[in-house]
Amino acid sequence: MCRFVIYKGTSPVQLSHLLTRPIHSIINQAFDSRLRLDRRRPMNGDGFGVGWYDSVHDEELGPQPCIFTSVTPAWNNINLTRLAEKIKSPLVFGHVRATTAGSLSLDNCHPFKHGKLMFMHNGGIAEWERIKRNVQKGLPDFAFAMVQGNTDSEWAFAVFLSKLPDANAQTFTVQVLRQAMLDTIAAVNGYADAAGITEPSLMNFCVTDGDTVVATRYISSDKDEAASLWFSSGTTFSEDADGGHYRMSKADKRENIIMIASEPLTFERADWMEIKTNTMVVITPRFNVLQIPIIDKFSAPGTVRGTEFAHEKGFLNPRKALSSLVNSSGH
Amino acid sequence: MFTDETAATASLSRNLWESEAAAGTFAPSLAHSLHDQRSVLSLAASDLYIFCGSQSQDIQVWDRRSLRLKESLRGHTGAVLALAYAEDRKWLFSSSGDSTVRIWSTTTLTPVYVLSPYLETGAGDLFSLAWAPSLQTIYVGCQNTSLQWYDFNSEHHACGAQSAGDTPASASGTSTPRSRAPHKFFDSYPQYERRPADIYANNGASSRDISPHSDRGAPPPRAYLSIPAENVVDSAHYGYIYCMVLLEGGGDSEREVRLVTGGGDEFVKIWECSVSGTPNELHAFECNSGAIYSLVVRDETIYAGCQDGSVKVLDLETKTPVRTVIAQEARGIDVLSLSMIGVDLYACSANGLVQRFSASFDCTASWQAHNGIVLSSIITYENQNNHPYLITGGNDGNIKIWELASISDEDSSARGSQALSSLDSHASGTLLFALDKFVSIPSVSSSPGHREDCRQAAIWLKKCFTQLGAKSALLPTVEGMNPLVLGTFSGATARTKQSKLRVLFYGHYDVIPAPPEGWDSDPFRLAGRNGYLYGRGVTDNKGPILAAAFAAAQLLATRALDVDVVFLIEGEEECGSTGFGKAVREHKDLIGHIDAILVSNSTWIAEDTPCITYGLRGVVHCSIEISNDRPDLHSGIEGGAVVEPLLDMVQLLATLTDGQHQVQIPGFYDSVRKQTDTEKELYKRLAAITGGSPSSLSSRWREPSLTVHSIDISGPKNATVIPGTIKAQVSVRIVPDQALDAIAKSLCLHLETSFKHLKSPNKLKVSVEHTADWWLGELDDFWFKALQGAVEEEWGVEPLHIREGGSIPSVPFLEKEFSCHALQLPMGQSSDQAHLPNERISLDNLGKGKSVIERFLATVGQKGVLSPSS
Repeated sequence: MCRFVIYKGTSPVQLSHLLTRPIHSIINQAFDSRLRLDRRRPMNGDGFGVGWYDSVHDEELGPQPCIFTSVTPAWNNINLTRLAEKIKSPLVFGHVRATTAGSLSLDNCHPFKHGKLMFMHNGGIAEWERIKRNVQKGLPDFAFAMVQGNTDSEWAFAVFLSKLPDANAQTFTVQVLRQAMLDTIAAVNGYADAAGITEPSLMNFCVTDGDTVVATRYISSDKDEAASLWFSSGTTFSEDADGGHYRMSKADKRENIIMIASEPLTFERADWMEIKTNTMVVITPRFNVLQIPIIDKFSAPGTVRGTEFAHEKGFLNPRKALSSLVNSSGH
Repeated sequence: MFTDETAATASLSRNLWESEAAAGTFAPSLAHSLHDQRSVLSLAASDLYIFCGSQSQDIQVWDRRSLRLKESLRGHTGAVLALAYAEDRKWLFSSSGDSTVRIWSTTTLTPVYVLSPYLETGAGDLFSLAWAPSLQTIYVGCQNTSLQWYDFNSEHHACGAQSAGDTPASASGTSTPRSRAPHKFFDSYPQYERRPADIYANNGASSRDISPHSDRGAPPPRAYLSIPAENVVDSAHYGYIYCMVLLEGGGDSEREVRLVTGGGDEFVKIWECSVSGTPNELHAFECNSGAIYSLVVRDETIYAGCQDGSVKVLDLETKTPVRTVIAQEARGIDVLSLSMIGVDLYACSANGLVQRFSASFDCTASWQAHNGIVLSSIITYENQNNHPYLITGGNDGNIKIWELASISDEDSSARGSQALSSLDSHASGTLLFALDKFVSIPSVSSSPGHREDCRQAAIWLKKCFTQLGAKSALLPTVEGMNPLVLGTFSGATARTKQSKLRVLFYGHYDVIPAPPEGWDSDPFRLAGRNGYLYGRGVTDNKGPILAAAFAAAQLLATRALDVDVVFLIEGEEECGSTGFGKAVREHKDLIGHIDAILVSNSTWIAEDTPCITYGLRGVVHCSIEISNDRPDLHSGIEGGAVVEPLLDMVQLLATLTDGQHQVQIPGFYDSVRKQTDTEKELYKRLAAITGGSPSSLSSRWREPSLTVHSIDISGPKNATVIPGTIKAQVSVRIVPDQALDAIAKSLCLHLETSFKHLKSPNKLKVSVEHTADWWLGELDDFWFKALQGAVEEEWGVEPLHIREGGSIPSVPFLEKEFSCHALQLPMGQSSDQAHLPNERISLDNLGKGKSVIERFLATVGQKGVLSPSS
């Protein structure tokens, strides 16, 4: 189970305000995750990745994001600290990884990209090895060829690309990205159904084209809570007290900064809102945050979902790891 | 006939000085601005207060009459995003980024309840509020897209009330905040501690408590309430619910209550509401214009302010969009707030502009209201009359109050009687309007360049007196000096002719120069900020003149003026009142018999206690010139060979005082009145108020003094020149019982004698330039008591009796000329900065100053009728 953070702002953020400085920054989450109860090995130390878009569009550089990944632990990477102090971006994806099995490899570090698009995942597709061949069979060549690593996450991105009318388009509408995300989840659920898999999959996906962000907090279950997902919005996010005590302030009705994260970056209760399970969060190019329920057979409005499953997935069960998590190393 | 007069008075606010035809299309004028430190996100108003919710957690409460900050409502720990005033309950609802709704009493300005939404902080920021009086229900629009409500109607329904009493309404104030449950994340410990979350984890910055139970030093509320799970519509929108507005009646049934919500998902939704029932979605309009930030409703039409700079007009009856009004052409300039009065729609935008649209959607006005973003707006009415104001709040930290034209579709025949009954409150607006005009004329008497402005000020003032019901005329003084303005308000004829008393009000329409350095706003444009009016002359002396004139006019209009009030306003006061005495003597017939003189040309000694001035010092201004009748010389060539005039001057000036700063003019102190014990006692008391020392007061008020103002030299003023001519300015302040002429003479004599002792070949010229006598009021007569009573009744405290160190030559002059006593009523506060940058007067002092004069005139009028012999 990994941790990720997304920033989208009207003005570029210095990466350190997300990655290194806040009291519960993504780097701190890497070694002191509070919403993952993996007591045996509580670290997200199996590499990390940061992807960001340019503050100013440059013809020569193109519209695609830049991605920096490493297999070293995020808290121990001096290059990450140095880059975070000197890079500013209006749209950032950050990810720390905890492989539960599988290879520790640069190819398996999130985020992944294709053209303008960037994608990351927190969770795991249940019994991935049983549907992997069918998923791959269903992909068009370009999507199949895109995959470099061997994680369920990257294959899920390939499925997402296959659901777009044109994965290489110059622009994507909010509606197109929303629909492709729903189609991706539906497709994965379809493969699992066909294979008779009953164990729920945790599908906290996020994708962006540099303008719109679409993220999901999803589980293919009507009884359990999905892996955690939070967001915060406001006008300025700045250090209010020493020790990384950042605070979101609101000087406007509108939002200038929107962050989505597996765990809040600070302990300011009023600054963070939990996204409901089986909800799609959309940050529109004009900084509106939409929270859209994902309606399918796993919607269960009004019922109280259990939290055990997500915890269990974080809690490394050796037998389960052997039976179901082989190769599903991405999260 | 009488109605005509008052109608004319009322109309003073509108069309006397501006084209009547164009009046309707003008942008509203800025009546006042209030300053908060941070972004102003929300506004509400009750009869007494303007409430302002800002980025800084507190709700500022401004007094509507004085426009001064009354109170800060403390409790929220996040930005205050929405306010709603419940007139029926006298409650203010506030919602915040801290995920609480707080309910305040608008009579006691204390907390009543704290209401937590379902899921508490899980509901996120609470963006919008609407109060339904008929359902006694508050609706809350949340960041987590839910629409929640709480019913204050049925007391048994006070679910989740955490209080010692059975019901929130009967709670006795002994509420016990519930112990909150630890949060799995926010109250967690680092993993290596292997410790379950508890409420003592203290992860946040230690100083901050963001629970609903944080009261930040304010008294605790009666009870803590929670919205139950069943009072929630989840996903009411897919975006944040930014705005909502309530529609009561007007639909299919009179009792129907509908709620209109607007969200970040570009939808406007209509909900049918009933007591304790889940709002039922009647219709959803997809606007496709970005987020909906604001809503207003008129009849069956909804106006929605959108993110793309447009206003969508939606028809409720037919459930169709009617049209799109483009307020801001440029993309990204969002319409953040809408307000409506009559058929006029005001759209407030992110670029600081406010635009007015007519019923036919023509843009009839557009003006820059704020530097930055206009975030909020409301319409209020001044008291009961229909004088409307638009109040806007921006991220520049300002709250601005814009005066709107009165509702024009009012039946004009009804207006006459209405004007009569509402003259009181209306007139304060008119007074400000008149003062605005008066201040805008830069009548600087010391500058020849402003000679025409001074004349225009005199003409304007004459017209103003006439409009207010006085007989008015300009009286010339000496050649090249500004004229006097004479205005006579005639009281009702008394039963016996000789019993009608006549009061003379003396003032001056000229001002001292106001170079723009140091001013926060144009000195010659009246600017209202935080309860003060700023501008050159507002306190010295244009404000007090108009307050007195409006007081007389008010009595006249209500047939309560039983004295004659004669305004005698000069234009040379700041330049020594040249020609004033002569002109008064010449026009004495026109002025007529006078029983008392009233002057209002000074300030209190402190900020909060009203004062009456009963003493002034006199002054002798003297210029001294020493010259050697030669051109300026080179000191290297001639130095030592000439007796230098400047050295003579230094010697001469040195003879004026000794080492202890005692004035050495022979007999100077001889007739200074001895300080009595009562006087000493008074200075002690006043010193405690001003925070100064009693000796400083007595030195300034009742001891004479001598000042050397300047020494001026001829020539190029460089270090190798011996100047040939030296001029110096010296003045002496004199006090009772020093004789003005004797002091002036002995000053000159002393200078001449001292100069002779120098045995200098140079020449001395001494001349007395102008003088003013000291003045002491009569504290025991009927007039003083009437004024004292008027101040006491109006302010509710006994006024302090003070003196002034300065001099007003005309006061003792007028006393002598008309053989009666003068009264001095200071109107402004000690911080008014007369003669300095940012001269100001508080609205409260101006308004109450007018009322004091009104009371005074009414009292002496009564007295005049009852006992003509006084």
